[in-house]
Amino acid sequence: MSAAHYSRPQRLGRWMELANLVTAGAALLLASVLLILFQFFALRGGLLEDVKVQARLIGENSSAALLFSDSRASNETLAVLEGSPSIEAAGVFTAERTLLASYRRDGVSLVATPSPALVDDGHQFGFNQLEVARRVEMDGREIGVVVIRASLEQLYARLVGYAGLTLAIAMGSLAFAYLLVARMRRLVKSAEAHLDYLAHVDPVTGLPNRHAFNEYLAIALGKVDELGGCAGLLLLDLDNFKIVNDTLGHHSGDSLLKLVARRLAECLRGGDVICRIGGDEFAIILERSEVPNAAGVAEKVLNVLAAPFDVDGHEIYATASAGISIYPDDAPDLETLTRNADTAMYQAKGKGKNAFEQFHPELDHRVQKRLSLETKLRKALDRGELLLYYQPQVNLRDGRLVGLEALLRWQHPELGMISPVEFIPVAEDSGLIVPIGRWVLRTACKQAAAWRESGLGAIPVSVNLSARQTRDPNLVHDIIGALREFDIPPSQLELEITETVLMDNVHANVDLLNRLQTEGIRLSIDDFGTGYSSMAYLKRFPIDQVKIDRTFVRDIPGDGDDEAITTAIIAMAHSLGLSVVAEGVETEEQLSFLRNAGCDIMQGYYFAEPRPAEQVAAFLRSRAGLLSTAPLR
Amino acid sequence: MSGLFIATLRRTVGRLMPALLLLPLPGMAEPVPEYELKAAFVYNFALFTEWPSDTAYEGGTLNICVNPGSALRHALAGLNEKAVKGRRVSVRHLAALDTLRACHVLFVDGNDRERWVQIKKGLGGASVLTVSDDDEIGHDGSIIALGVDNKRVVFDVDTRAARQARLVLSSKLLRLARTVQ
Repeated sequence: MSAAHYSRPQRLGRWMELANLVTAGAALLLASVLLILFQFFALRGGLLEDVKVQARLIGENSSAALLFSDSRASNETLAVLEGSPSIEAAGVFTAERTLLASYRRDGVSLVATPSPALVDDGHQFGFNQLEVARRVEMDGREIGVVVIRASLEQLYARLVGYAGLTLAIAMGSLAFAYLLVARMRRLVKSAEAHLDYLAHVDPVTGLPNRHAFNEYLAIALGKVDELGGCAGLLLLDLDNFKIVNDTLGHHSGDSLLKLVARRLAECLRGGDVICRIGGDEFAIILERSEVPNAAGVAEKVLNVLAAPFDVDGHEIYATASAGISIYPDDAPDLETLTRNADTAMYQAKGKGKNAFEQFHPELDHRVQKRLSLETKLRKALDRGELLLYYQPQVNLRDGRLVGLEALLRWQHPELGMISPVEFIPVAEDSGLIVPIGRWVLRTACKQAAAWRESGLGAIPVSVNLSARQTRDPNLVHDIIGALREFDIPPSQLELEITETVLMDNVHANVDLLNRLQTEGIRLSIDDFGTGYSSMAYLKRFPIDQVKIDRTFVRDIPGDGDDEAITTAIIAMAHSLGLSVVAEGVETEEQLSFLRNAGCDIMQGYYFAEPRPAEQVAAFLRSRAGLLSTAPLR
Repeated sequence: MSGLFIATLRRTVGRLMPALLLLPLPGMAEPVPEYELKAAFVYNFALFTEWPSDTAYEGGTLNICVNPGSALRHALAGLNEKAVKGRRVSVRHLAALDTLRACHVLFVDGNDRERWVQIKKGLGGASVLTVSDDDEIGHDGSIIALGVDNKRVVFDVDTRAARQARLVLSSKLLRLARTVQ
């Protein structure tokens, strides 16, 4: 990564290169010497052959001259040797070793009378000359000897030329090979660098990717371990990236990511490392000096991202949630540090997005608790720890009971009653809500049937549907199945869906609601007034009832705004032909305000709290009496 | 190649000469150097001559014939027991011409002038290498004619006569001849 990081291997590489070169040079030199030696012997052998052939030719052509003692003819024969540059002297001797004819080049001595050893061996090499002797025979009888002396000077000259050429070629090949290897090495190095780049850089934003992030973080933590101090990790998740991707397309999503990356890079200090570690997740590794002000950095980042982005002509608000974790204060290792930052980030998201959270042990505790809660919840259904409470809904005008809302409760054998506020989100997140929801529906239907059997009549029951359930393709089938199983008419069942869930996927939900309504099931919008729904949508949904959110009811009478909203909702719902329920009614003041505003139905502690099925049955049996003493009258 | 052949006559070193010519002649008293040299030439001519394959060798010998009256007869007799291409040399005296065709080499000199026409007729293209040591005969149909030129023994070759006799003379020999016709 850094120059210092590579300096030692680079130096080593240079030494290796040099060693390679020297080795290759030595090998080539050895090969050259062997070649030159071989060439020497080949040249010498060639010369010997050559001179022997000459001696033989001279001998053949000298036989007659020897027999007739014709020196002149013999001299003429020898004169031919002038054409062989390496032969410097030659002589024809009679059988008695008297010289018949001779030949010599300028400035060299005559050949000496051959010794018997030379005649027997045929040739003899000296340091710089070669002597060849050959008997001349006639009819199997020796009639003389030809002696030729050749100089090795020319051989040496050729050998020197050859050696020069060989060494030059060796050097040339070595240089060529070196250049080739160096070029290859460069190519490999650049290919490696490119691969390294691809492996470590996110192609969309040009930032280091998750892989590189892990390496950087490991280095940063290693530095802390070595030098002391601390390092911070800031995880950042765009809040509505998915929406941008889904509505404007991936290309715009990528553009947004690029813009975000640019802003992050601009607002952070040079020493901070920014990585893109996931689809819309960014990580920032904070230097030691910035750790005390990690919250400030997070705030700065969120502020920078708060300004709208111009993505392909659209103005996009890309808020983010950030989580901060400090090493080694919050976590002893890399994994825990990352997980804690992640926990903090989700905590921030849970707080309502566009926020940051610094990790603290309690967060971790909360996560652990949530995890254990999930484990327990999985078992709760099988162990029969879940149960339904029912809260009566009463007509505001005549005080008659119009129905019961089934409310989920969890009675844990050790922890006691666990609040729905606590476990419903866990069930939603884990997907457990689907089997639990199915159980709720079935249990509610079963209970309605039981009440009917016990002579309490057909009491309407309302059941809440969660977001996850609305996406369950088997939902309608399950509902119909439950109704049929216990012979409950669909009109006796009311389903409550929160406004937020409804608005999440309008198209799919309109279809679902239409199907449910076709089956004859009543539909109610829960928590109305909190989900920013447009009035236009209300018209499109096939609903029968609107339930005013308890937050509006809580502050009336007294809060002018809430009074106005409540009144408006009631008026609007009535104008659309919907009945209105107010929940969370606790006081007589609230009751009278709602009654005056024209609200149709109320539900709340003022009238009756949620109770287990048996108690509700008892309540229902005595409802005539209760009603008579009810404060409604 | 020029046909001039010159061999040194070393009259002064008479003892050395046979050695020089590779022709040791043991038991010869008072040999005349020129005769010895010429006899050696005759032998050498035989060495460089090829007879046709159908040539008959009676008793396996290569016969060298010479007039019993020839001055060279003693010198030639020294060639007996030598060999040419594996055949023993036999020197014969040619008194009458009836045995002419048994000769392989025929040496003629001044003594044969009178019967030379007869000899030629008798040979009639037979494969006999005729060597003459006489100016008159030498230029009249003998294959090789010996002579002395500037105190050196020389020889001339008549290739036409050789062809007629179906003899092949080695080019090595021809190279040494003074003239080749």
